[in-house]
Amino acid sequence: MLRPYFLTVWKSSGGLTKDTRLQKIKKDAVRITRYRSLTDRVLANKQNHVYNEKTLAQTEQLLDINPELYTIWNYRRDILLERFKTCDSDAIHDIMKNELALSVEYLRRFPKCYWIWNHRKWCLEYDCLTNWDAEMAMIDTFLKADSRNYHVWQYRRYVVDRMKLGQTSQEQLDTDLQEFNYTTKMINRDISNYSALHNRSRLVKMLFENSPESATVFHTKNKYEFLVQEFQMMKTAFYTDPDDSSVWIYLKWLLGDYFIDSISKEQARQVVETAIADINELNELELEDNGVDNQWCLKTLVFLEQQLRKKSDRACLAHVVVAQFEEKIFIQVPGRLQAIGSVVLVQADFDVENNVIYDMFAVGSQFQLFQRVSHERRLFVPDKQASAQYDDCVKVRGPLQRQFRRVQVVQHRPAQKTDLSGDSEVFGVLDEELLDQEITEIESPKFHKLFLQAQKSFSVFVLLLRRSHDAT
Amino acid sequence: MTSLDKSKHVAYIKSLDDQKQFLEYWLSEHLRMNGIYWGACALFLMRAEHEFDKKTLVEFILNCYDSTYGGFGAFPKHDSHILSTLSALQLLKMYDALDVINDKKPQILQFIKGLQLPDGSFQGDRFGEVDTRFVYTAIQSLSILESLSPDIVDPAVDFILKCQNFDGGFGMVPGSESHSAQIFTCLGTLAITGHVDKIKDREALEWWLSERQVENGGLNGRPEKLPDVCYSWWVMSSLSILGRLDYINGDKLREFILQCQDLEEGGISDRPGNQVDVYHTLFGIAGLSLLGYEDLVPVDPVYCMPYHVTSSIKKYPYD
Repeated sequence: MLRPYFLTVWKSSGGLTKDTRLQKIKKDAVRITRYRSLTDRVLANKQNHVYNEKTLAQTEQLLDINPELYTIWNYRRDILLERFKTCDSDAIHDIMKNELALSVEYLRRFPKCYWIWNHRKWCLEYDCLTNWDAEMAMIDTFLKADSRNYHVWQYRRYVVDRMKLGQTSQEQLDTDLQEFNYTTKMINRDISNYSALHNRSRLVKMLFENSPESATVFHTKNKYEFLVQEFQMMKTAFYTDPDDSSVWIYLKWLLGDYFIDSISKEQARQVVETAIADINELNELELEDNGVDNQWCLKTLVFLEQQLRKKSDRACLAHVVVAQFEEKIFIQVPGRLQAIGSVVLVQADFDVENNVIYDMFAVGSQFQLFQRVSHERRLFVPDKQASAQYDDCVKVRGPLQRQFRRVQVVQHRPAQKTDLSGDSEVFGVLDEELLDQEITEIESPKFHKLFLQAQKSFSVFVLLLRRSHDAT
Repeated sequence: MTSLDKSKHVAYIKSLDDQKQFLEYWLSEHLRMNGIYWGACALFLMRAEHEFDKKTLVEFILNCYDSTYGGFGAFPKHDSHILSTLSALQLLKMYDALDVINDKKPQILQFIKGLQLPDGSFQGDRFGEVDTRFVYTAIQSLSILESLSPDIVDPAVDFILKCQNFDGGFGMVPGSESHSAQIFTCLGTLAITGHVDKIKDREALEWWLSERQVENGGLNGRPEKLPDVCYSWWVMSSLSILGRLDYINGDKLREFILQCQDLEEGGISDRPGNQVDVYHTLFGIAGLSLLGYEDLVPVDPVYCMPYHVTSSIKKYPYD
């Protein structure tokens, strides 16, 4: 992005043999003289404010060699502005048509050059007779050549905004809808087109905000219906390429607060639960095919669990389940989400002698996905020496990595006399009374009590825990 | 394992001005000021800044001053642009020579402030190109000159905040796609002006940035794009501003950057095996500095200059 297009040409002459180097120097000498004398002439005329046909042609000659010369673009515009003083809008339009043609020619060679795109926008600002269809066709051609070109997408939004300035509000809606449909077309062509997904996200918001009740597509303004449809589209996409990050990032937005908060709780739960089921299924397939979980599935599942918890009627209490082991460790488990993470880690980490605990995780891992993770110990290496390999084992990075790390910190605590007082972020506190005691003193009945309390905050998980306790 | 070949990189940077027999040297005039800053900053991080002659440097910068519009061009006789103006100010700041522009300071301030538009954004020069890059460069320039004020800062911050997207990232203008380099310019603006706490969806932003690392350890600028050494700077500086450097595997990134070195002629390229350039040389080295590798001078993620230089810049809001 910030990378200047012409930069790579400014390099040392390294890599050349002595002969080729000398040949290049000889050849360049002529070209340098020509280039520098042209540059000198043009800059001198610029300083003297010489604005005429000849100097205009010279700018073109120079830009043709180096379209990054912003100063020469500026000079060219100054010459044109001078000429506009005696032009009517038709005459300006003709001049601008020529400028647009010139810039297209340059853009074919340098499609990522900021200055050329900028010149094009400048032309549109001055020309009140722009042929917008021609602009849209030009954009389409460039997007066909490179469907992710940042400049082209930006230019497209700019052109659409300019077009909309002259439109009624109904026409504006139609334009946005056409743009929305264009993103569908681009995504169908290539689901990995994040630029199209980005544009789609903002168009969806605009269409929901601006559509009247009677509008046809976002007709009932019913976000639920849209969400269900859109999820189907994304489902096809993530089944097509489960490793493509574009789709997952878009999906995270789709199932994020923007939509989830504006539909009913029941609908939200339904949508999220369907998504969880589908993604679990996909991960199963991925596991069968590749022998490893798909990390995007895992991350999205964790995110969706969070969303689900938000829609749960039960208010979360302190989010803590305390587990006791030989190594005297407390694990913070905020809700089902992190319970899942912790189950993985705990199972792998500890020498499980305490039946209660063992059962707890055996049952907890009824979340099939995570049971597998824990059994195969792929997310965590139990051996402390091997914890150096931690970074390779835990593929999850970003905000989620934190909760894994947190447990890692726990693992490295000294075995005796675990001091919990100053570390509430790591451990959390559900029952302070319990934490005041030596951890080894916590026995089954106390766990029971703990589970009962925790049950208030996350029903499913704790229910399973309790069943395991009863079994002992 | 390879390490950073500092002496080769220093030699490479020094050699850049000895290329006048090559056409490419002349075709890059429009970048010269920026290029010298990239080179100088890399030298600073390698404790080799003395390799540039301060007197020659200051003379060149003064020759690039454009008295018509009041800013600096990239080369003598080139027009003022905010990009080259910032590079000039960074160079003067790093070489402790800001006093040479004392007489020009009012015009320079007028040039920079004159680029701000009513919506708080900045254009790069008088021809209207708007970009969060220019907001950042203008705000950093004013910060180096210790001339920020609420009438400039507040609308600029509002504009930056409007550039945030559905994925938590920021783009070039409101509505444009998230891009790591644009995110850096937005976070940099917020950090200089003391407004990082105004970011919404911080977790989404951190998540998006943390997903930039690809299999070979390098970072990309947008989803599903190839890694490039320069994102070792744009992504890592952003994560550093957010206090989340640990979201990226530093060892793997280091390995990727080191693989991009030209071990014969010096310099760093965008990807292993490609032609090196001074831009990637700086951002590779700056990335390593942020990660604390290779005994480099610590770099300030907000200003992209050594901490020992930026520590003397007055912090906004001023007392």
